[in-house]
Amino acid sequence: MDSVLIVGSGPSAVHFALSLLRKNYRVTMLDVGYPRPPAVNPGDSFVSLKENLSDPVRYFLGEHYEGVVLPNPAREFYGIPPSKDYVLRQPAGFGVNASGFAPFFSFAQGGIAEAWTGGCYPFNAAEIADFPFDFAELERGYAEVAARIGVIGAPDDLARFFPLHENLLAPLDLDAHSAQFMSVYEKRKEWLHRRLRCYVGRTRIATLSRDLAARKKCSYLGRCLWGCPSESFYTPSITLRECMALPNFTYEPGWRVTHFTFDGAQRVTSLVAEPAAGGAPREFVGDRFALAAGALSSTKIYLQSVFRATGERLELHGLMDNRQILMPFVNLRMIGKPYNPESYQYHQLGLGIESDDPKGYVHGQITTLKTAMLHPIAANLPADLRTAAFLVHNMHAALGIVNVNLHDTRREGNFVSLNVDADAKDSRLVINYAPEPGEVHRLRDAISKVRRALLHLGCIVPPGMLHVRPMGASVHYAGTLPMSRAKGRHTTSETCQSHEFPNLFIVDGATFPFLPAKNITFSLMANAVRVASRAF
Amino acid sequence: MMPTHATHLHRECEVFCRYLFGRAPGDYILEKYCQAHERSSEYFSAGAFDHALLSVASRGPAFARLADSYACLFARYSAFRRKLILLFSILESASVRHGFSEDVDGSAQPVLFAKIVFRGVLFALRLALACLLFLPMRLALGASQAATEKGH
Repeated sequence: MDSVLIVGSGPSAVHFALSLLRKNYRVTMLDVGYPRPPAVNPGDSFVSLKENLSDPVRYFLGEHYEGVVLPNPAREFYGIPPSKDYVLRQPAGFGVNASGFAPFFSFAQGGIAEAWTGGCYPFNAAEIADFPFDFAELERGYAEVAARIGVIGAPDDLARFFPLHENLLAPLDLDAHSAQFMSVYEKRKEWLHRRLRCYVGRTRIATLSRDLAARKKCSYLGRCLWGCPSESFYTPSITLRECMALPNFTYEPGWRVTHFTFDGAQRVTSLVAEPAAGGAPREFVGDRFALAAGALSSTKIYLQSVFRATGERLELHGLMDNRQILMPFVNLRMIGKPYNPESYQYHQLGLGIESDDPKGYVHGQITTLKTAMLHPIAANLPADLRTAAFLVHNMHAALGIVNVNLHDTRREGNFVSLNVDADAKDSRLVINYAPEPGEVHRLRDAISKVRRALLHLGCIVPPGMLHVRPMGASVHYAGTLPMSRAKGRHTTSETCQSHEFPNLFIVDGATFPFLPAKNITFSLMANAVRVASRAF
Repeated sequence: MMPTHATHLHRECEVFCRYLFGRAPGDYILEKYCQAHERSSEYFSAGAFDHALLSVASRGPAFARLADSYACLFARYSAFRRKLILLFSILESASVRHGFSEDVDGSAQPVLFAKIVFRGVLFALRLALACLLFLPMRLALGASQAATEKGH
């Protein structure tokens, strides 16, 4: 059986690997692979953790107090908590020059999805109209991934946007705020449907409402934000561990792949990797190769490979990402109510706004605030901190945030290239991104509709608190080496096989020709399963 | 760290804690507050007004509240404000023995709304008083700092 070398250990990589391993391929995975630290006091809830840790401030704020969110107009309300710092750790010498784009890279085991919020939103048939395969293929991938990772959801009003698939688990218990929000929606939804074409329902989340293999169902410890200590909440490192238990799998951590080499027939012959800690590079040979390091990292490897072999400095066009808008809100009916920290912490509800063009769908994830830190909110209120503390403590149960996502399309002006130094020893990824000219109108329209929907549901968006996130912040990167029926230069086939290099597969978001307003991760995993099924 | 600096930080933490929290900090909170100053350069004042604001605020909880009423709108990035936010984050990360309790006011909603409005009015009055004190100070110190920089 052929040997397959895979670069990366993110959601695409691990599900691609697992599918191949089950077909008896010999798989080697090359990865920088910074590991997740062991869970701290795994049996403790959020509240008991504060009581039982000898130094809770160190855990929640970090060794160097990097978890303190100080006022800064360019900063987000919340960053990655110190317990997940390893997700964004970068090897020495790694750099990017970006314009109009603020990219994130992860070299962790499991990739950036180690810090994701678990949204599993299948694309629908209209959204994959530009993909060179039928929806049924992807649907099978969704069902398979759902069986592997555990996805909760419900056949409710949002099912009109997210196709139902097999292996969906029952949803978790709603927290009090989300339950109140839903009950008001049920009473007022006719108006929302008629006037705003806005629908609310349960989000699909990669967490467990019943035991799945060795993983236990969610026990509502309230620690989701800092990393689920019981692994009820899915991250790709769980699947990586599953791969590691199989005899035909070899995991090679500590290697950063710089490029691949190829022969005169354009067949890839090896992957060249440098030790992440520094040292001499090494070549890894195989029969077939897969880049699954995330759209930008895979694109960089591709660009470097072509440059080293031919001297050609490519520009790969069509980079996409979801624009996100954070809209904090106060639910007036929940003011003064106590909050329960022992509940699921990420979004449990979502809203969808329909558009005449099905690709123009606007998606929002509604997160009610429970154990999230309050100081970033208090610091942003136009009041002294003592007054702000009184307000946030009494409004704690009433606070929420909608993360609104907009779709993106491939455009020529948005490209990725390389900046190579004089002796060609070092290269930096160069990213150029500009929003489409009509984006301002789309933003305004989405903000206006979500604001009106919230108001109709008894929630207000405090003035001055809305935040349009920079491009790159959603980390849903796609589009640089798209799947295409036509064999264009630097495109891939319907099985994500490179049209340039026949034994090279690009198994991540780089191959997506369109980016709906949905978290891409579930579709990345489903597509990886689909490719492994069709091309191997 | 110099012992005098540690003493100064203890005093500052005590005042700010009484202002934010209504009581004196325990040893754990004091230790964390000082440690943050050792490990991060975010909490040092830069500029004459920044320094003056911090000096006034450190005189006592009432002064801290007055200074914060001004800083929350007009000196949001000052060292004083950053120190307060640091202390807030420490208090909310600590156990309830040391830090904030999550108890809500407990009043019926109309009473709570009335309390919020009342606090808003008090804040507006404090803000007016704070502006009378700190705006001239800022103008004077800004002018003197500009003159000093010009001299250099």
